[in-house]
Amino acid sequence: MHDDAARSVLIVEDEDNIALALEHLMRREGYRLARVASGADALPAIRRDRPDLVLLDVMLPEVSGYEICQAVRLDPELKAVKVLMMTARGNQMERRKGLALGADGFISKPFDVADLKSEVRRLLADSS
Amino acid sequence: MFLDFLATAAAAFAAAGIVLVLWRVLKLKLPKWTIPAVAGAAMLGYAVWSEYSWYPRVFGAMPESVAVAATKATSAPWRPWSYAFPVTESFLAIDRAAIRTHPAAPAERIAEVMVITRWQGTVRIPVLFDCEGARRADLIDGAEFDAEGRIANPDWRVLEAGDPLLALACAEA
Repeated sequence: MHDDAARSVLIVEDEDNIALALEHLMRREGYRLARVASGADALPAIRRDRPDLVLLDVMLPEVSGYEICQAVRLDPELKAVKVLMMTARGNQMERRKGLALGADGFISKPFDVADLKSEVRRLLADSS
Repeated sequence: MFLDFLATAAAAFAAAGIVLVLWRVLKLKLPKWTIPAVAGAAMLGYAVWSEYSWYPRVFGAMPESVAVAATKATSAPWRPWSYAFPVTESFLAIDRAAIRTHPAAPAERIAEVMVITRWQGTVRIPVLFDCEGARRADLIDGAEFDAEGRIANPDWRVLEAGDPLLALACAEA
């Protein structure tokens, strides 16, 4: 169990199997979890639940991960929400674009479990 | 993605080059916009071919033991033809030759679920399937059968009837 047991993570991922794997990992780390499967549902969920961290896929139906990241950063009330974007491995363009829009970190797909856990811990430590 | 861009540009130059050669050799009287129009049509044609052929190309390159559980096709306004013929952009597959079992737990199987998405690569997720109980537990943190055929603290989720991954993992070879 992780020290930050009460921290909350919102997973924004449209692929059920990847979302299940992420939920499993985050639950084992002790975080409170919620998940939405589309970009259109993500912003209302972030504004309603104010998660400590959003694990955000770039490629989403309806509204892209970039648009969500930008909207979060433009909303002063969501300043404390950390955004960890999931991008395709080796795609520097996706990373640069996410960084320009205010993402706090990146994790490559296919993701390395240890990297993902440590990046989530790092961002949540920064926000505490 | 970059290679696709190069291939699309190459298709445009090749098509324009062929038209240019035919133009000169056959001394045809064609309007000047013909070459850019042909180049544009070649780019569009290559892009459409590349989209629709992605799934059969990728699946065709996999070992015969890989079986597909589900495909996901999408439509988008910037490719209106996809509303009539949706484009397959991702699929779920299991390599049946790599399914692991344990003699002490014959109803349980560990399979690597592959989530293959265009532009995003392949995410491999080890999953424990309970063929009798119709449930699954994700093992992405690396859990394995122990000597007695048990797995420590599986995070079980009951599956709906007809779940395609369960059906594939539990089908007899």
